[in-house]
Amino acid sequence: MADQATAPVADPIAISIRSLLANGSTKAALDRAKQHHKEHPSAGSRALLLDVYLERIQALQRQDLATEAQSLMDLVKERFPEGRDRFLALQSRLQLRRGSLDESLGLLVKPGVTPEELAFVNTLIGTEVHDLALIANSEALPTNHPLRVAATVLDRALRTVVSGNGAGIDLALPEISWRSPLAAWKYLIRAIAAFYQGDAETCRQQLDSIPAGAPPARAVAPLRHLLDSKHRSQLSPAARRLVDEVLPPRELATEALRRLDRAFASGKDKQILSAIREATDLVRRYAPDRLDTVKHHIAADAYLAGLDPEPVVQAMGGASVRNAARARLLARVTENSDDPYEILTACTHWHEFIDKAAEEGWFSKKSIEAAQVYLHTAVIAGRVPPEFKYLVDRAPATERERYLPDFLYRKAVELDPSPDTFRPWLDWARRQRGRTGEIVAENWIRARPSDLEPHLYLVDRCAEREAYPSALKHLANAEKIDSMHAETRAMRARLLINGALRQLQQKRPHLVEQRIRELEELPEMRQGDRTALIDALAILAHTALGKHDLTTAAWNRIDATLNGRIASLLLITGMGRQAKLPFTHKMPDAGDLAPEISAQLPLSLARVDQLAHFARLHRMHYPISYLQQLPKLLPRHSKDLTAEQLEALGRIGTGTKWNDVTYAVSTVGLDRSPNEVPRFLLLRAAATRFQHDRARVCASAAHHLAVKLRDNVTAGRALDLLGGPPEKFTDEIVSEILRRERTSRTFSEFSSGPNYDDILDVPDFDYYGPDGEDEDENMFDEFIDARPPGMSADVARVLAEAAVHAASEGVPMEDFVRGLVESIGAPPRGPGKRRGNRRGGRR
Amino acid sequence: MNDARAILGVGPQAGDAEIRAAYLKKVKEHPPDHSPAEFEKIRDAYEILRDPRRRARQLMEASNCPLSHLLSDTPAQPRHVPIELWLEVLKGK
Repeated sequence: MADQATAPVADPIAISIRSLLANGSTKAALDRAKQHHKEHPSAGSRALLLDVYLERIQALQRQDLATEAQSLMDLVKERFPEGRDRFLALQSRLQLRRGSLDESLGLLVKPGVTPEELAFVNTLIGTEVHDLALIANSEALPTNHPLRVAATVLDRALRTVVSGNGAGIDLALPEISWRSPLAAWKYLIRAIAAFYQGDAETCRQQLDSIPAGAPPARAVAPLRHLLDSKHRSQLSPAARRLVDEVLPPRELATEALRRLDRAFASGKDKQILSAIREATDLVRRYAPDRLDTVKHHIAADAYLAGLDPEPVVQAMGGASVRNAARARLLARVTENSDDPYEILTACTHWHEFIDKAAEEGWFSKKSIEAAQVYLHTAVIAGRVPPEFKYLVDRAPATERERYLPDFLYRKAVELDPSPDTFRPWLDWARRQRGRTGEIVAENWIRARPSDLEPHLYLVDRCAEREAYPSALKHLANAEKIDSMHAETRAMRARLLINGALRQLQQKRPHLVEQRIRELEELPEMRQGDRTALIDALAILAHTALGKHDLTTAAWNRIDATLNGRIASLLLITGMGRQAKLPFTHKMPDAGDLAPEISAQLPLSLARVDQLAHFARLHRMHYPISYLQQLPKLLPRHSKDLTAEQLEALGRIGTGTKWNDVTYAVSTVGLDRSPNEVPRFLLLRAAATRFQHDRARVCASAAHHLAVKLRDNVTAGRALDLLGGPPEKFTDEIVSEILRRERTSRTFSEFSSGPNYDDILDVPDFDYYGPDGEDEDENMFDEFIDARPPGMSADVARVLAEAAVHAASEGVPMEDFVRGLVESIGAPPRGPGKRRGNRRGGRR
Repeated sequence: MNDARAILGVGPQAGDAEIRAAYLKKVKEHPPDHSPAEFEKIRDAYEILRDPRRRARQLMEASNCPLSHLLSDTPAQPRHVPIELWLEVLKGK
């Protein structure tokens, strides 16, 4: 049924009237058309007037003025009988809007109904009937009419599934064929039923089957939203109302939190604050028991997003409760940062955690639990680089201690004087300058005199600084505690070897013979290749004493032990360097070695380094040509090497900083058994340390695997290399990292190797930041904010730029800051809250 | 072990005696011969909580999960609503 105008009118008035219609001014158009027909009546003007009337009726329909539209319709039907065919569609829609379909449905049973009329009714039903009851209850159709039967079945099914009583309903709905104008309703009913049954997949499939123009398609968007709450803003008001009613109250709050997550991800402050307001409001209404937890997490995320706390607190409708859970969360989100300021902030939060936890009865302030928190805080505080210690100095004197690792470790051992607490303190102390380690070991001995570890540390430390009498004194104490302990006995052997080398250095070779006899008595020196160490000492001593026959005998023994001259020469040369002797043998160049000797080179180097490692020989020398040869030899000649020997080669690589050696060792090591993989993945991290992200990924993955295998040594080394907590990976991600590293078999200084941006979730670099701010412009804000009183911002900026320049020139920041403070003459200020730019740093 | 306390059903304030009582109660509910996997989880949780150092480390655990996960421990059951709300949508309002 055509609605369109039929009168071909081309005069200017008709054009202006049609222009008014096109602009939606139907009332003005009708007035003009009436006037025009009155003044110049013609068939054209009548046809035009009819067109305008019909447009006006439709406009009234659209404005929900059904009564007015019907009155006008009745008038036009009376005055324009020639337009009867064109009234049908309009009249049907008008009736539909007024809740009746009888006139249209009556056509279906009218004798002599035309195909056009039938097609029109089918189209009307298929595209515009939104309520099946209009058909099901229509008296225009007999009760057994197929359309009425179908509508009745569908209407009952729809009401049943939406009311939740549809457990026994037959969703096959065989009464409705796929060709029926009501077919789309069948899919909608099945979709709603599947949704309430929690079968999202079937629900989606049924929704996909609904044709776009059918009335049930209007329910597709809200149903999709209910399945996966996205695009809520695109829903019609009725669809939003439906979604809000169908979703359970907690789910509404969850959905608001989901929107808040997205707002944080967008980095737009206004959007975040608005989403905070909405989410906290819904949580307060529907999940009040979780309000504090939600506020804690919002506060943590807002901190990471660099938002000012005040508007966040306002948006939340009040600050979050300062309890232990809050302090713990804030400590956790700040402690993993590399930013020294945030590390210190984390220390503050952990202190607050102890206070609050004690108040809330979680544990006492003087408990082992509190000791563990101090220990953890000490480890975190230990990550502040020395050049940023001035931040600690700026803190008020009463608070300064909480940032000092030494104080925190002391506090921990005071509350829990166990080896588990002393050990991390000693581990930290041995990395400090001066006698810090020895002081900690002495503290440990005072608290726990019968623990062996601090005594052995003192032996090692004294031997390292060549204080042999002190070392022997500590060794005697260690032997009193446990003379049979493998490490005590190894320590004695080391002391004897290094003592003998010291005597050689002091040109007292005759005394070495006594040491050799003592060494020969030790069972440890008979293990593995260790007799080679005694023979090497004998060669050095007998050469100095001119006892050539003894020297020759020792050479024969050492060659036999180490299976060749190359390893013997490497060991003797290294020990000679340790003793600072002019004794040097020319090592053959790797290129001059016979192929069978060259093939032995990896094994020889590994055995020598294992001996050097045992004896703590720090001045070993490995010819460059050997190091150059190693990466080429390893792929072919590594299968006979034990994991420990491979590790020794890795040590040579890291010790000499020959990255291609380290890399080659890690390559063959990664093909070893799963138990051995973590240490070689860690070695890969060491080989690629100049590729920061890759090294971090490898070390974190090595830590993950080592922890799973209970390989505490490798796990501890991984943490040392990382200098902080590892990245948290799943087993699948670690497998992927291993796969990428295994396929990256050759080392190149110029290649960055596998890309881990996807694993580290590295955001795209955005020079101007999410707010369009220039990062370079902002990077000095912190310096400017903290400038001494009386200094202008411009002067502070110049000084800040000078600091950056000094850093780029390699001037230590500590020196620069000292010079700066001296030149300014201002007292340092305590650390205060600052607004950081942590965009994209969340999770 | 993410939350040993949740497994034994004790709060952060629980001391040794309360933890042990909760452990024994849980073991009675899930004896090893009937539900070995559950028992193993309970035993692991108890092993953590009986050692004050591990207990403290566990107490210090907190992760900054997405905000939308904070209420996820209560399953969301959609509500049935009057047909009129659906009809409003189908009407195209």
